[in-house]
Amino acid sequence: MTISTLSCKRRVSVDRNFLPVCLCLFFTFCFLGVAAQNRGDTVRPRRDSVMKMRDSSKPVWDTMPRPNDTLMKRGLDSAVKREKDSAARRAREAASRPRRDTDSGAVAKKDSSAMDTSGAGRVTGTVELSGSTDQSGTSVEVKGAGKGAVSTNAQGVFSIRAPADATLVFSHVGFLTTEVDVKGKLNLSVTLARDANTLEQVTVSYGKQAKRELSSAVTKVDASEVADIPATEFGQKLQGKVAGVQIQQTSGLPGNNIVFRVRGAASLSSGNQPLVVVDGQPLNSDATGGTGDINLVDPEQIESYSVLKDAAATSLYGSRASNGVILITTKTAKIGKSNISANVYYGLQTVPQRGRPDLMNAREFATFMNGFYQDKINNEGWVNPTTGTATIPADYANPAQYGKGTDWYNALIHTAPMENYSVNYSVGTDKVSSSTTMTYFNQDGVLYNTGTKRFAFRTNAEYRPVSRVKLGLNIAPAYQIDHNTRGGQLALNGNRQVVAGADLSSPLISPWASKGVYNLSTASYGMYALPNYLQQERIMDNNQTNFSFLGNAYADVEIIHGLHARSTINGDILNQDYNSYYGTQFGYFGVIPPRPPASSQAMNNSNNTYTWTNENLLTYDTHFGNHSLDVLVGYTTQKSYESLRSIAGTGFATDGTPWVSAASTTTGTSNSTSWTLASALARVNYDYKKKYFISGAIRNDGSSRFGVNKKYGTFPSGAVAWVASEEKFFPKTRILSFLKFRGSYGLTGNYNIGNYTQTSLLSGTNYVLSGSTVLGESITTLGNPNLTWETSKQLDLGADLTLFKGRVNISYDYYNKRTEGMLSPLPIPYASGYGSIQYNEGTFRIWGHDIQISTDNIKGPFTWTTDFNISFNDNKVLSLVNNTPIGGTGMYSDYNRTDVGHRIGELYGFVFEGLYMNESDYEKYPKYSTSVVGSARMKDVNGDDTIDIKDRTFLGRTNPKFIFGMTNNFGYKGFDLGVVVAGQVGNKIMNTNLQNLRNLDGVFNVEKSMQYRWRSPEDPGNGKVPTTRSGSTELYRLVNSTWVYNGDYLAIKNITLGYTFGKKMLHYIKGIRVYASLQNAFMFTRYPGQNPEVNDNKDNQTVAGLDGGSYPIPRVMLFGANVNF
Amino acid sequence: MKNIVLFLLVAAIGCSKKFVTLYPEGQVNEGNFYKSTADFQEALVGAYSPLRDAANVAFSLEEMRSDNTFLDYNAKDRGGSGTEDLAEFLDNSSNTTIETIWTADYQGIQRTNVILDKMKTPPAGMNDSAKNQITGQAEALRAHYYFELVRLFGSIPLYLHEVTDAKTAVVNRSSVDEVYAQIEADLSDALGKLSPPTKFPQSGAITKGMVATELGHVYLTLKQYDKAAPLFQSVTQMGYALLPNYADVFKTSNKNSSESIFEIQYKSGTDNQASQFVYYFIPTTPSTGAILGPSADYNNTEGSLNIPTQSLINVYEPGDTRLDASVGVIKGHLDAQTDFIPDSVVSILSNKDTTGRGYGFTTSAAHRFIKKQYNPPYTTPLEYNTDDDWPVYRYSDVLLMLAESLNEQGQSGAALPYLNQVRKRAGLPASTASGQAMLRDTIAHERRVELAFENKRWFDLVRTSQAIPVMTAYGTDQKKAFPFLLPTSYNVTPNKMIYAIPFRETQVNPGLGQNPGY
Repeated sequence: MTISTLSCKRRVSVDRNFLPVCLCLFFTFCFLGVAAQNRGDTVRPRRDSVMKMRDSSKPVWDTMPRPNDTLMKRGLDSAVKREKDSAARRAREAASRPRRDTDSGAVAKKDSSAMDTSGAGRVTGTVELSGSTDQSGTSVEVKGAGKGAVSTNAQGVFSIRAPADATLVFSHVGFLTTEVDVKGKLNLSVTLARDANTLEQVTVSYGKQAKRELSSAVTKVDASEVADIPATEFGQKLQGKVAGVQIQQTSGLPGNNIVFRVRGAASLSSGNQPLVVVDGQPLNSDATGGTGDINLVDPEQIESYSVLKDAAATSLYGSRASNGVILITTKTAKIGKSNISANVYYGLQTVPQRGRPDLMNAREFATFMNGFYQDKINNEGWVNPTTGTATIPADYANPAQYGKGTDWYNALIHTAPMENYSVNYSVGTDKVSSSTTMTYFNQDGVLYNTGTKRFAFRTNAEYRPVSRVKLGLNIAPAYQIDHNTRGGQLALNGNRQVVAGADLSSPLISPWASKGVYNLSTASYGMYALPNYLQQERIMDNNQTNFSFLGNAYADVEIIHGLHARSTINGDILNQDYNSYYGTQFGYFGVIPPRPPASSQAMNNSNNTYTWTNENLLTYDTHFGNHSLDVLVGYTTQKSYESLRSIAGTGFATDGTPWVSAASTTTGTSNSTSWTLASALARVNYDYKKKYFISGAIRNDGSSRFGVNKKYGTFPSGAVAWVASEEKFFPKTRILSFLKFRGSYGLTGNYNIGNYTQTSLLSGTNYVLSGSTVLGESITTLGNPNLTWETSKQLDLGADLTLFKGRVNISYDYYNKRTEGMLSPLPIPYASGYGSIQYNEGTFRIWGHDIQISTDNIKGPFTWTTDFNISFNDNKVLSLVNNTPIGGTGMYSDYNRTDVGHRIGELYGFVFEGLYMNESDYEKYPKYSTSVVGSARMKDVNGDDTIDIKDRTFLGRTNPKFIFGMTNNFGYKGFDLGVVVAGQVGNKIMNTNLQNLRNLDGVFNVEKSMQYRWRSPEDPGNGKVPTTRSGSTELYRLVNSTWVYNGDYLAIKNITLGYTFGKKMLHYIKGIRVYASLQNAFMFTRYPGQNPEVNDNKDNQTVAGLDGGSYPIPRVMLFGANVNF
Repeated sequence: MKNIVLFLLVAAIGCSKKFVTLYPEGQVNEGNFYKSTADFQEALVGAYSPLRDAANVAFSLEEMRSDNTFLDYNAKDRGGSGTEDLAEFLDNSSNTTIETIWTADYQGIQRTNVILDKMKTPPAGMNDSAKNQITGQAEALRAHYYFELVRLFGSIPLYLHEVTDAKTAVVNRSSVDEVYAQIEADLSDALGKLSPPTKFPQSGAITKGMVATELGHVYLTLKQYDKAAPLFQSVTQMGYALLPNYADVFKTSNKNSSESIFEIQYKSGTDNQASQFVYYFIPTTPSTGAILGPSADYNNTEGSLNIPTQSLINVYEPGDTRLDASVGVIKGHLDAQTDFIPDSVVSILSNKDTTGRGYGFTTSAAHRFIKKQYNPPYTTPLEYNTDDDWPVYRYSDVLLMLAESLNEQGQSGAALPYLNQVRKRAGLPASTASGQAMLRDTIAHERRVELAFENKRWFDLVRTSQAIPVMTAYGTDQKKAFPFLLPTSYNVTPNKMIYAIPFRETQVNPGLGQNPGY
C-alpha cells in the first residue's frame, strides 16, 4: 500500500518522470509474484483438491509459449489440452531430474503398479505430423489411464509403457486426435492429419486463442504465406488476403503509401488506419494521416498478422480500436530447436505501359496552338506583341516541322533495382529462447534520384530462470534513409508537382539544351512558366533519416496455478531528421530557374518522439468439469512525447554549401507535444464443453486528447459462439464436419484528432506600433471542452464451417456498425472568427459482408489450394451537426462532400452536359456568368435558370461496392506456383489533374482529345470540348463530371514460381528454395490513369478518391532464395 | 495479496486524471492567458492584425471595382480570373476575394469581442487609463471592421460576444440599420475613452482623431450631414496638418505623420510584418531586379492588378502634382518567352499613352502602375517584403468630407476653404465653384484624384448613387478598348452595389441566405 501511494504522488508531481514509477510497479509485481510462488508450492495441493484441477505439475510457461499469450486458452478435452510445448517440456523434465511435485509422483507410482499387474510392455514408434516441419511434441497416452502421457522427440519418436491390449491416444494441437490399438505390437507408425479448425492459434487482444474457439471476427495471416511479395511496408503483403480489409497502394513512392481500411472508413477525417500492435505494443501512429511510423516495421521480422475486425475482438483496445486492430507477432524461437535461415531477393522495377498519360505530341500540340492563336486573331483582335501584327507565333506557325517531340512522362522514369537480404538465427532451450533477425533492404525508385534504404534488427529473448517466472526482452532498432520520398517544396506526388507537372510541359522542347546541359524552361510561346521537371527531379535533394527503436521488457509470474501476473514496459523511440536544399537551379510550377543566390534555401527539420506503455495484467485460467474460464484484468498507461524543431536558412553564396550554416539569414523554431492514455481493462472468457462460448470485455480509457469534461470513456463488448457440429443431434455427415455460429456486439472508439484540440489555443498575431513589431496574442484555434472520442457500436454475426473433411473452410460475417459522435473539424462560419471547431459530430452507419473461403482443391503429388475472399461494404451519413455538409463549398481544390443521406466523401461538382453549340442553344439553356456560344454547358441542378456554384451535385461514391482477393497455390514435387489476384468494383475516381490537362487557355500541353474543340458553329468539334474564347474557359476547368471514372479493376498482383531442393542434395543445408516473382504483374481496368488504387489524401475519407497525378506503381520482376541451415 | 493488487489498480486509476490532463507546453492557451494588463494589451494588438489581411485584398473590391483602376490581362495565368471578375462585374458568391475580406474583418471582430467580453471582469491591478485605452480601441476596431463589412455586403450577422462553441458560432443577419446602430454606438463610446494624438509621428494606434473621422464618415454615408460636420470640425482642432508636398505623404519615411489620421502599419524585415502592395501593382514578370532592387531579382507571379485607367489619367487637371506622385510607368522589353522584363520606372507625364499594343496587354513594352506604394531604393534581399503602410484616413480626406458635409447642408461658402486647402497643396488654383450642385461635383472630382488608389472611389460612387451611371458608361468604353472582354461584362445593376455573401458561409450557416441577384 505504501508503495502504491508513493507511486501516485510521484506521478502527479513529476509527470515527465513517470518511467521510474512504472519500473517500481513492475518490480512490485515481480516481488509479489516471487513471494506468491514461494508460498504456492505449499498451498497448491490443497487448492488443487478444492478446485479439482488436474495436472498441477505444469511448469509455469507451459501454457505460455509466447510473450503475449497470458490468456491462451487451454484445450478442455484431454487431447487438445496437452499442448506440444507442455508435453515436450514434461518429457524432458522427466528425463533430466526427479519430479518435485509429490502429487504427480504419487499418481505415477499408481500407474506403474497398474501396468505391472496387466503385463504392460514398452511400446515405441514414430508419429508423423503431415505437412509439418516440426515433428516433435505429440502427446501419447494410454486411453483411460488418465496419467502418464509422454511426448514425441524432434524426430517424432516416442516410447511409452502400455498394456498389450491398450489403445493409445495421439494428440497434437492442430491435428486430429487419433486412437490406435496396440494389439501387442511393440513398434507403431502413426500419421496425424491436420485439423483445419484447431490448427491455428490466433493472436487476439492481450493473448491467444485457438481459432476454433474464437467468438469474434479475427483473420490470421502467416508471414510465410506472403513471404514472396516484395514490400517496403508490410501492408503491401496483405493486399487481397483478408476479407473486409481494403489495402490500397496509393502511389509507387517507396516507403509510405499503404492505406488500410478495415471494414470501410470508420471515421470522417480523424484517421481510418487500424491500430497496429507489435507484440503487444500499440504503435504511436501519426494522427494526422498516413500510417505514421508503422512503415518502419520490417516485414522480415514478422511471423504472423492478426486482423481484428469486430468490436468483441478489438474493444480491449478501447478508444482507438474503431478502425480495427492489426496485431503483429514477431519471430520467436521454438524450444529445443536452433535454426539459421536467410532470405535474399533482387528485383528490377519498371513502369508498365498501361496508364501512361495520353497527351499531345509535338506536332499535335503545335497544330492545336496554331488554331488557338488563329481563333484569337479572328475573334478577339489578338496581335502578336513581338511583331506587332496579327500573325501566328513562330513556335506554332509550321506544325509539320515537328515529330513526336519530348514525352515528358517517359523522360522521368527508368528501370530501378530493389534488393533485400535478411538473416534469422533462433535458438531455444529450457532457460532461454532467442530469435534475431537482421535485414538490409534497398529500393531505388522508378523515378530517377529517389529511393529508400533500411537497416533493421530485432532480437526477441525470453529467460526462464525459475519455473514460474518468465522474463522477456525484445529490442528492435531500425534505421531508414528516405531519399526524395518525403515531399518538400517540390514533391513528386500531387497536382503540379514533378510527375503531374512534367505532363504539362511543352513537347516541342527537349530536356537538354546540349549534351549534359538542361533546358531550364519547358514553356513554348505563351505557355505558363514551367521548369524542366526532369532537371528538378534529378537535382532534388531532400533526405530524411529515421531511427526507430522498439523495445519491450516483461516479467510474467505464475502466482498460483493458473494465475499470472504480468507487467510490461514498452518503449518506442523515433528520431527523424529531414534535410533539404533549394539552390539557384531550383524551379517549380510558375518559377523557372535560375534563382538569385539570395533566394536559395536550406531546411532542417527534426523530431524526437518517445512513447512508453506500461501494462500490468492479471490473468486467471481454470477448468472445472466441462467448464473453462479465463479472466483478465489489467491497468495500462501510455504516454507519448514529441519534441520538434525546424531551422531554415536563406541566402547562399554558392550551391556548394547546402547547409544552414552557410546561410546569410537563419530562422528557427521548436515545440513539443504529448498525449497520455490511462486505461483499466477486464475480460472474461467462458465455455461449456467447447460447445458454447461466451465472453465479455470492457475497457475504460482516460485520454489527454479530450475535453476536461469528457476525459473518460468505457468500451464494453460481448460475444457468444455455438459450435453446432458438436451437438449430439447434429447429423454427422462427411460433407459438413464443423459448424460454428458467432455473434458479438460492442463499443469501440476513435481518438485520432491530434493533441490539444480540446483547448482554445492562442498564437502570435503581432502588429507594428511606433515602427516596431509588438507582440500580439489571439485565439486562433477554438477549443471544445466537451470533445470526446467517437464511438462505434458494432454488431457482428458470423458463421464458420468446414466441409469435405477439412478441404473447404468458409467463414462469413455480417456487420453493422453505427458510429456516433464522429470526430471531425466541424466547419463553422468564418464570421465566427474561426473556420472550424473540432467536434463530435454526426452519426454514420457502416455495414457489410465479409466472406472468406479456403479450399484444398487437389491433394496428392500435385496440390492446389485456393483462398478467396470478397467483402461488401457501404456507409451512410445519418446526421451531421447543424446539418452542415462537410466540403464542397469552394470553387477550387474542393472535390468531395459529406452530407446527410449520402456516403462519406462522395465526389461533388458540376454535371457537364455539353456545349452551347450555337446561338439557339445559348438562348435556350441556363448560363454561367461567363458563358458564350461554344463554352461548356453545365446542368442547372437547382432549376433556378442560371448556372452558378449552387448547381454542383454528387458525382459518385469513392468506396467500392465490393473488393475481392484470390490466391491460388499449386505444388508439384519441388515446384510451387502462387498467383495472387485482387480487385474492386463500384467506386469512382476523380482525376483532378484534368483541370490542367484539359485547360483551354493555351498554357499547358493537354490531352489529345482537346484538338476536337468547338471553334465555330460550323466547326463545332466533337461537341464535348469547349471553345478557347478568352474569359469563358474557367467553368470547364472547375470540378465536373467529366473528371469522374469507374475505379473497377482486376489485378494480378503477384505470380511466384518456386522450387525447393530435396534435403538429400545438400546435407549441411536443411532446405533451400529459389523463386522468381512478378509483382503488380497485370492490371485490368478501364480507369485511364496509372493506378486505380490511387488516393491522394490517403487517410482522410472525406476527401477520398482523388488522383492528382502520382508516383507510378512499378511492376517488379524479382528472383529470390530462402535457405535454412 | 489480492487486496494489494486491487489497491494498486484503484490507486493507479485514482491518480490518472492528472496523468491524462495535458496542456501544450509550446503554445499559449486559454488556460494561461487573459490574466494581466499585459495580456490584454497583447490581445488588443492581436485585434489590429486582421486589418492587414483585409487591406491586402481590399483594393480589388474597393478600387478595381471602380473606374480608377483595371488590370493587365494575364494570358499565361488564368487562375486569377476571380479578381478580373470583380473588375468586370462578373463576380458571384464563389469568388475567393470576397471570402478573404469577410474572414479577415470578422476575425478582427471576434478578437475585439473576446477582449470586450473579458474586460467585463478586468484583471486586478488594471488602472482606469488602461481600461479606457483597451476598451476604446477594441470598440473602435470592431466598428471599423463592421463599417467595411456593411458597405461591402449590406445586411450581415452581428457578432457581439465571444464565440465559444458551435452554437454561438452561428448568427443570423441583422439589418443594415442595426449594423450601423452598433457601429455608431461603439464609435461614440470609444470617442469618450480615447484621446487625440500627443505627438507626431504617431504610434499608429487608434486615437480620438481616427474615431471622430470614422464616425463622421459613417454619418456622411448615412447622409446625416449635421452629425458629420461637427465631428470633422473637431478633428481640425487636434493638431493634424497637410504635408507641404503631396508625394511625401506616401514615403515610408513619413509614416504616421501629421497628415495621417489612421494607417495600417507594416514593416519590412523577417518578422512577418511586411507589406507587398507594389508586387501586386507592377506587371507579372519573371524578373523584378531592375525596379525593385539589384540584390533581389524575383519572379513576380502576383502582379498586374489595380492598374490606373485612362479614364482616371484623363481627369487630372493640368499642373496637378498628384498625377506624377500617384501613377508611374514601367518601361521594359520582352524576353524570349515573350514575358515582360522591366527596365526602368519613368514619369507618367512624358508617357501618358501606355495602353499597349492591342490585345497582348501584359506584354506591351510600357505599363502604368500605382506609385504610392513604390518607394525606392529597395535594399532588402527579401522578396514580397516592403515597408509601405496602407492609408485609411488622411487629413485631406477629413477636409474633403468636411467640405462635403457642409455643402450638403447648403453651406457651400463654408465648404470651399477646406476644399481649397487640398487643391492648393496639389499645386492647383483655388476652386471658385459656386452652388451646391457644382461644388458637389467639384468635391467628388477632388476626392477621386486626391484619394486615388486609397480604396475610396467605389464606396464614394455607391454612397452618392453614382455607381450605376458612371460604371455603365465606363464599361462601354472598356469593351471597346479591350476586345477580350466578354459581352456579359459590366452589367452594372443595383444588385451589384454590394457583393455576394461568400458561398461557404451560406452553406455552413443556411439561415444566412444570399444577397439578391447572386
